[in-house]
Amino acid sequence: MSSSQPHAAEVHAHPEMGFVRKYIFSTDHKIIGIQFLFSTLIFLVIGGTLAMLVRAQLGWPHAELPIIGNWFLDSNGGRMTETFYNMLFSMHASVMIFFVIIPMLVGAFGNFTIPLMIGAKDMAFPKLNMLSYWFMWPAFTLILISFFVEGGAPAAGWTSYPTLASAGMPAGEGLQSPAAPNSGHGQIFWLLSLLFVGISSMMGSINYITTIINLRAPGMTLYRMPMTTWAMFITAILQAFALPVLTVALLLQSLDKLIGTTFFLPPRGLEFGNWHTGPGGGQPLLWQHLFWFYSHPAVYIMILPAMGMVSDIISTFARRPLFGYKAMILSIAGIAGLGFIVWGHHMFQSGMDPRLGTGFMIATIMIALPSAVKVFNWLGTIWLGNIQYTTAMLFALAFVSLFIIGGLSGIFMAATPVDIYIHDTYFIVAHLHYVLFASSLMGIFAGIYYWYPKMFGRMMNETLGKIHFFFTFIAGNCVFFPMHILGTAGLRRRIPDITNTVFEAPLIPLNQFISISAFILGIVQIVFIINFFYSLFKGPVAGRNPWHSNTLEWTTTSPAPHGNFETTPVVYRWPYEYGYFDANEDSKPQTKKGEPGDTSQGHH
Amino acid sequence: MLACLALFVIAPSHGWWLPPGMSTHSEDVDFLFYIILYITGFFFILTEAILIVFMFKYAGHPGPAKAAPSTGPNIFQKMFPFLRDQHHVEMAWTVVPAAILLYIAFAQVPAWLRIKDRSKTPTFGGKQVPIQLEVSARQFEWRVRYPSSERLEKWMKNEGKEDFKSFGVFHNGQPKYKQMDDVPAVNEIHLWKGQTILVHLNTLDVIHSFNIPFMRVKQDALPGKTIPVWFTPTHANTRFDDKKQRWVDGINMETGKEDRKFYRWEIACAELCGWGHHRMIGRIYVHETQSDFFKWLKQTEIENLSHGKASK
Amino acid sequence: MLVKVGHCSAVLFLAVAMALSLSLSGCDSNSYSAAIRYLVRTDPLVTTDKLGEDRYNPDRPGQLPIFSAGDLREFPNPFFKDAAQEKEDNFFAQRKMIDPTKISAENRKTLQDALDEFFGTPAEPKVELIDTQARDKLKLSPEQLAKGSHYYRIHCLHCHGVPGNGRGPTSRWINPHPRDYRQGIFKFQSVNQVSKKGEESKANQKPSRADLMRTLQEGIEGTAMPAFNLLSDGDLESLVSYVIHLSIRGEVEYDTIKTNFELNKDAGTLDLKSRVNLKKYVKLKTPLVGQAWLDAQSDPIPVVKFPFPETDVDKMKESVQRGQDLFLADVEKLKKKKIEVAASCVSCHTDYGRQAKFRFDEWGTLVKPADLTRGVYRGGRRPVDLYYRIHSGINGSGMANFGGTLSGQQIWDLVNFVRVLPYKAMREKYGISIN
Repeated sequence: MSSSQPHAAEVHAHPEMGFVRKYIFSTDHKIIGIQFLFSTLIFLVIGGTLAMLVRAQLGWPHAELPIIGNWFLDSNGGRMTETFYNMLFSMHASVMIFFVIIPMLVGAFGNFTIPLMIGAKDMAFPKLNMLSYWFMWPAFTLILISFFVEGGAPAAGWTSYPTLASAGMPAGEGLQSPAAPNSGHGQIFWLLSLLFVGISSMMGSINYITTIINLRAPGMTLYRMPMTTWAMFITAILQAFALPVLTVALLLQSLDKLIGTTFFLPPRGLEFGNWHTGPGGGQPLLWQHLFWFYSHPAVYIMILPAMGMVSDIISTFARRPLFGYKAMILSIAGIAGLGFIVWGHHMFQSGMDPRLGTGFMIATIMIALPSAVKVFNWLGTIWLGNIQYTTAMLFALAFVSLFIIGGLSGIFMAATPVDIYIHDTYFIVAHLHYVLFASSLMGIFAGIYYWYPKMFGRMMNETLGKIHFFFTFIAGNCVFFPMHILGTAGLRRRIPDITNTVFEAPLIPLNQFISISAFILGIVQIVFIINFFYSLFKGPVAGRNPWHSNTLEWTTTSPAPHGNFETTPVVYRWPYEYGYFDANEDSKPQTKKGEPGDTSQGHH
Repeated sequence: MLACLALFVIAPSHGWWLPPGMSTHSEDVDFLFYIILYITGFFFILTEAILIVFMFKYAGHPGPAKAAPSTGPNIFQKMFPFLRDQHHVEMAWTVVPAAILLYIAFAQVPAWLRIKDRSKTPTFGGKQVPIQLEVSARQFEWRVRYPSSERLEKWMKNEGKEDFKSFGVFHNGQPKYKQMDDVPAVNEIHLWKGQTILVHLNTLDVIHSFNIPFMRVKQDALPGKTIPVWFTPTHANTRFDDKKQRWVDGINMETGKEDRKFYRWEIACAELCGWGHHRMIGRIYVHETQSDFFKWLKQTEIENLSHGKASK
Repeated sequence: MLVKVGHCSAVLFLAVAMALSLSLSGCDSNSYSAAIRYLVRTDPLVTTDKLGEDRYNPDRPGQLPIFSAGDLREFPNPFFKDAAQEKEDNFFAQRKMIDPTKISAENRKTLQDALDEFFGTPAEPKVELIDTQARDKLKLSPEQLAKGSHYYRIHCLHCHGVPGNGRGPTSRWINPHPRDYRQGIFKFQSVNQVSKKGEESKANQKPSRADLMRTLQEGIEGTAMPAFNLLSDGDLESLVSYVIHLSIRGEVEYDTIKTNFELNKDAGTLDLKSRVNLKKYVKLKTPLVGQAWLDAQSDPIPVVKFPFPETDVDKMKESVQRGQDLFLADVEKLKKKKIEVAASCVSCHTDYGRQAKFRFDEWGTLVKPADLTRGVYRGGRRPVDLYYRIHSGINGSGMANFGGTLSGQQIWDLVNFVRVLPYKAMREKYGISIN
């Protein structure tokens, strides 16, 4: 399947497939991408609901829960128990990270856009692609079952630090944990579920790397690929190298819990009142190293695709070439590369000697640099532009402005003495939500609004989209910006009732403000859901290239047919030929042949 | 953006801000915090302002772009002739932030070493002999163990080096040389102003975090390990209340007035340790003088050795 | 157009935010809702501690305490072996346990109403029928109880349960399990449990308020009961009052069910004994329980003066060695010394407690004689606390009281021995060894 032989390929002639082969067990990357999209949108609702419950407890810690408080919480005075609260935030984070952001960005958008943007018919391994989606289903099932097992869903944080998560009774005495009720069966389901997610992602990453290297259309050199594809490429490499370590960590903890190995149990064992684990031979810190070695690149997996998508979207709607294309690619690579050597910054307070930690600290501070370069480049892209304010563009610009906040707050943590103070406070929560919600998720919304016509052949409603945008932007900032203040005041994370300390109790009013904003934020997403599903059936039909964009996917029909392109495209330019050319056109698609006198601004 | 700025400005007046630092570490930490706040604040305002200006200035119209007027050098290029093309601009905004970031990186290393470098653990024969104690973090309380007042007094006079060292010997996270006359306390740590304290932090069950916001101290306690934590308080907050017949904190000892907001120094566990994590609160009582502290310690010792009131 | 949408959204957002904040600001109610009540118990009453064999391992997380009679049939609940399907009836047939769900709905309602009338609801707790002196001494005024109820709901309820039954949501997941106040038995106290000859039995006397305060302030080391000194003393006093209220109510309920109902083996129901008026019984029993609490407040354990200055090393050495002899002596040897005990120390604290087995206590949970080599004492580590434990035992758990059979001097010998036991250097100093 090399790209050096342009052959006049028609749309593949297939024997007519039944509904099941066509839409459920499909090997077509577009269908798989859409399957990922729908699954993750459902989990977005689940994760969001968990967050709403968290905010309800935080704003009014002593009150009864309305409605459900009277039903089944009588045994706890109408309030949620502390273990339930611990479970809520642990599962909120686990669901959002592993079942929303990563599958959405990498699974949905990666799958959908890569072959289309490089001019290929499909992925390099279509069946492997299908398998990578269906491997998510055991993960979905297991994580949902974990809510209903004895002890409940895991409540040791999404980070599942031993020994709270991993302590088990001595061999032969059952799978329950003496450390916490939820660290028994629930934790085991969580571990197994994430194993499936990891395997699914690893399959995907192999697929993406191979496709991008081997299946590009003729003329599509690496330096003519759009930023989205570059970002997906580098993200796939990140996943391929980081996931095996997570898999190992999950396996080790599963073995500890299931068959009584002692990878994370210190030599003397642990004591929980009358319950004594046996003696061990490992240490809890090992988990932290293994876990964060994956989870730090994971956070870059969660932002780089969004950055790539946003670069393309901004460029398209500002009608300007991307400022500093090569620098942008280098920054993505820099962020990814540096991302592998900074995992220790999550463990600065775990007893690390500064003489060891300095390396982590310097690398962490340096990551701010490529991120800053990217921000400046985005600003440079809209400079002298002709900005079209579609919903996708609004979300993309919001990404830029909010990522600035998220990135700058990260610098506080990189300076370790300051980190001593703000570690495990709401400052960290603010930072992570700015980069995950206010950046990644906004990038995801931008991508959905942008590629919706190509996926479904219809346009989403722009007015509803703008309402969705404004409320999300305002409410989102109202929720997460005050958390910086809360963190500065020292409010700790993962606390269901902050009235127990003198230094935290005065912060309740601010917490209530945040909670109310969060409820509004949650409710407003209904506008998006209505828009999404209504437009599926009743939206105006979309043309091939409603946004007048240059990249290859816009040269084919909307939605793209099976086989993607009627004829294999030939590429003559880089994707960012926007600007003034003459009175009639301000962009030159990648497939437009070069003419003498062409002043292509790209490097080739 | 304006709202963000406003929030940062009004928050401190509301009391929603960094608690005033009460130890020698807080100078380091707060200085760094504020420097980074100003630098990031500057860049925040700069970039967001540029973004907003561009969003309005370049708000477009549908249809192809108009022919741009031939742009001569803009004001930046006039000010910095170096910025003559895109490459140079890229370099400029790569090198300048890099320099700033590297400054931040290296400026804070000495502070970090002062707070956490194990080779700088205060010990015998150093600047000041610290008081040692063991804090065992449990689900969900802080169990504290002091040496007896007799031993402590010897150490303060620079005597008993071997004894001092033996207190700090731990094996697999547990003390090797516990003594019958050690003084136990729970959820309370006492010391006196200007005196360094060395805490041997360990735990028997899960990971906790020894966190005192006012002292800018935070250290995770790991099962199986004993980790040294040290700090020196610069203010006192405790005096003996004759009416209640016990030591009370929350007093600003400089003015003598009660001030629960700024002089109640809590040890608040900062690593999720189970369902009682939010309730794992201790307190630091800093006495004004060494003699006050020993009054408390000796009183506690006597209570701990109580043989009861004989009834016959 | 865009700016208009933006402005409209911002205004709308602020309006909604303000509306919500105004309506929700009154939401942080600080006490139980009026709808929650103390329901008549449905978990089995335990009437004895002879519920099964001793064993080396405690119950697993999630198994005890039992919430319903059906729990007994679950594998691997510790009762399972002895309460297997066909033998389960034995527990109930022998009245080792009483299943209150077998009471008829009508009788339940009568009992429920009676208890509600005299003890109120969690939102408005009260204790009626006890005289004013008791109410004042025990600080059981409705104001104190309401305050205690508020703190109890926030801090205690998730382990100790709404009616103080030790069956809150967390109770199955900690070991030792939280105290069930409803039998009126408390373990760690300084109230005399030893009656003199001819006196009325003082077994299972109630603790003093100071004992309960001590437990709250210092926690119970080695268990999941933490020190609650994050609350002020005033708050803790109100909690003590509330716990006493729960205990009185619980004990009245326990005793009413135990005394007035008989198992009808054919129908499988618990029938009210003839000519019994439940409300009347409650009215009679409550003041008795209140009086018992009041009496306990002024009956401390008589402590003999410590016989020599502690700095006297030789005397201490002799005392410690005498203590060890007493500890290790078996029942026969002690009889020769004219000390009549049911069991000697070492017979329960096997190998100084290092190899002691778990046994059932009077609450139906598993408990182990303390490992005395560890230096962790749940009831307090002062010498006088150890004296209290040896003199008056630990109610409910099988630690007998020795105050009637050992002299004060002997108890101090044992205390000295126990205190020296965990420390190698001390053992060497005082010349004892434990191999």
